[in-house]
Amino acid sequence: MSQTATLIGIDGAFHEIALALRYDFLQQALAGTMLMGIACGLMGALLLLRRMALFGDAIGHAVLPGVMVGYLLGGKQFAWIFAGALLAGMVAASAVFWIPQASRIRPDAAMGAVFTGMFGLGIVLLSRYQSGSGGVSGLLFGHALGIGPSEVAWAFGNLLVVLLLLGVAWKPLKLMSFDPIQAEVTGAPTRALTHLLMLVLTATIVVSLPMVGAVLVAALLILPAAAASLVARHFGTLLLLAGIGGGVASLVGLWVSHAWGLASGASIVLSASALFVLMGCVRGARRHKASVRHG
Amino acid sequence: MSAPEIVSPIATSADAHAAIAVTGLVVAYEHRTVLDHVQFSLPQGAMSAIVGPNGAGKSTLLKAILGLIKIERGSLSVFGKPFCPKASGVAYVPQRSSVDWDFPATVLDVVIMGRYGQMPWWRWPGANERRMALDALARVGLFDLAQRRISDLSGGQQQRVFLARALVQEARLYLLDEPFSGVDAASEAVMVGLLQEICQSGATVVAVHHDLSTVKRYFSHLLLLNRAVLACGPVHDTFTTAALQQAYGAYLLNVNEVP
Amino acid sequence: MADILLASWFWESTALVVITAALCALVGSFILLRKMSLLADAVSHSVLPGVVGAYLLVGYHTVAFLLGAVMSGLLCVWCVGFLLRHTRLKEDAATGVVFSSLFALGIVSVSRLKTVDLDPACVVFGEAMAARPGSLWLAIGLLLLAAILIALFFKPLSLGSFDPLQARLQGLPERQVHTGLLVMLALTTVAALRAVGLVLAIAFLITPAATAFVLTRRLRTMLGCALGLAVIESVVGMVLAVWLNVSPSGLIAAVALLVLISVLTFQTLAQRVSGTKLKAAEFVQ
Repeated sequence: MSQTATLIGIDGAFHEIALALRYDFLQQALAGTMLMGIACGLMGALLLLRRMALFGDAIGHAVLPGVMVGYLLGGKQFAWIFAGALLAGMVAASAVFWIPQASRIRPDAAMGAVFTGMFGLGIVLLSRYQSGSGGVSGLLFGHALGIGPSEVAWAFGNLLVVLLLLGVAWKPLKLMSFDPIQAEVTGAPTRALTHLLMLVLTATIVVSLPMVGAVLVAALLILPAAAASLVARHFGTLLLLAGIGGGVASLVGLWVSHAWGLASGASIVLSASALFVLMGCVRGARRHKASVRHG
Repeated sequence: MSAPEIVSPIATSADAHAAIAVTGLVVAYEHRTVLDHVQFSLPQGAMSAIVGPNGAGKSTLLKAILGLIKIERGSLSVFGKPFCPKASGVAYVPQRSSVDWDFPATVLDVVIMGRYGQMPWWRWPGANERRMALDALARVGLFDLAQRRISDLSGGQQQRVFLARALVQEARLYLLDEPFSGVDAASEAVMVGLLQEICQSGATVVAVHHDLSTVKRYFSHLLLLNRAVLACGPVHDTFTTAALQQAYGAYLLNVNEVP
Repeated sequence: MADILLASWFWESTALVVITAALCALVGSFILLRKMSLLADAVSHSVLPGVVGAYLLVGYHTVAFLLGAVMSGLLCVWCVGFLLRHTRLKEDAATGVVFSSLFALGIVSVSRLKTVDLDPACVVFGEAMAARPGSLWLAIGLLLLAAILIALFFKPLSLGSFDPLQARLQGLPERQVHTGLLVMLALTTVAALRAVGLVLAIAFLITPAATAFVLTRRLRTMLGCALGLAVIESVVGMVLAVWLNVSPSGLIAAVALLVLISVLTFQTLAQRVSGTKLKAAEFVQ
């Protein structure tokens, strides 16, 4: 009796989802966020292994002035915005690397100074050239349900680039993550690879901006990767789990946001947090089992 | 290797005149025993070296004496009482690498910090503290560098600043963790001279030391440690080939070949 | 322009920003020296759910905001510690996990509330121009509190930053001072949140202190220099912002970064020109 009820319940949910999916905007949003989530998960895993987890946070904030300049120069064309953001991202990354070299300031403080300053510049441009706060909220916090086919296409293209990077540079990336000195000794192009990584990271962040926003994109880079690192033991497993985790968290988050009318970016991040807690429980259970087995 | 059989010629009971007395000390990190039934006492007014190979538990022993780590078993006393930060009469000179040399302070500021523990908690350092610090700097030969920023000093000078900071504490016991590692010869000579002076004035010096070639010249007492105590007592009784081979392994040749 | 500069509301908001900046610079100097910049970033993001929670419980009430902020700030620190103890996550990753989750929780609640008092965009870059009168008194009170606490606990604050072990061995209240600094950080964030928003709060906590750090060679001069920089940067930023008709918070953060970059560039060039290790700091002094 109760089993039948459950079945009907599940059936009902599927029915509801099927109904909802008839809306184009929802299909686009689901496709776009999933592609973005996978890319963020993969990039986040690479950052996590290189102990640069919060670099995504810095770049995420720092691209804002570039986005604004691109927006002002090229109208609403995404290519212009993309170029501006890439430029700002690279400037910020160079500054974060340069400050600790030029002074006694530690990298974490350098990161804080750079991202707040550049973000402030972005806010200045926003407040100067855009009246009304709709656009502001869009860029800062994202509006996944409002994206169009072009954003989905960019997210798809970006995911391809990320996969291409992984495919081409799998071995040096793996080596660099676990033993950067060894990587340098064996002649892997570590500098070039770091620059490439920053470039693809910035691209991933820019593509994610319309969906989760500048303020929250870092969370989507860190959380799935950190969740995966709780249970994964190998480089490949970590990347796989982080990618899947990012995709699933984005889908779930978007659905929750649509169903309950919550802010989409923050919902996606919160579902990634839930994923992290879940993985923490899995790890705890696994450990408990192991300790029981050992007596 | 069971420790108690090979323990030192010194009496195992906590000596009333001991600066440091340790009985039955066991320290473990995550089920790995680092110090195993360590038992010794070091006399007052002496200059003692704690010597042993890497991983022998020398720094751990210092931390245990200062109450900075949890001990499994045993008892520790400094001048007959358990160590207590307030009014301890103990000055600790850490390894140079353990502090932040980028901190914005002059040499004088750092030496004045040695007085902080003895001042009322609300008072700022004044002329008295300043005078004491300058005196201490003169003793370690850094008077002229008092206004330099600490990050501009060489390794040996930084270590001398630390010694000056210990001096202003006017302690009865000076505990030093590898004071001569990475230090130039001039600084080392100044520091050894000062430490011997301190001993002559009645205070006690205990240093973790790793240079076997200078043990005989610098120190009067020796604690040879490798997880357990291998020897403890006056240097001429304990600094023997047999004991050193036991600590460092058989490859170490004759102690007489060590100058 | 001229009539704006003469208007009393402009000077009221400038005073608010300047005092907030001074407060952040004082607290931030110790945060920087204790290598807690990352934690400052995290704690200031994490106070948001606490503030929103307090708002839900008792409405717009300053004391409740402060309490909520301290509780969620300390919760953040505890969670980071928990993750560091029980997982293999590194400090930056653990911090990122905790603060982005708490911040997202705060943003969701704010956007759900749909109230005029709290707006997600305002949380991020503040509304210095529309500050409530109470904000100024809150900032002044906290600035006084910070100054008094720093004067009283100067010894453990400084020795604890330079050599924490020595501070403990000398019997100074090192742990209590550490916790006190975290509480002060959470309180500061609340004041800054109301005055200038989250991003500028972090900018003020880190950037003037970092600039002063490279310019000076003693703690006391560093504190004075950080204070001076924060005040000058915020006044310049406010006037410029009114003149250009842009967001003051954003502009001040940008100005602060510009000052830091200029100082570092100048120092690097000066070093290259003189060919010695002589730091520009020693010219200044």
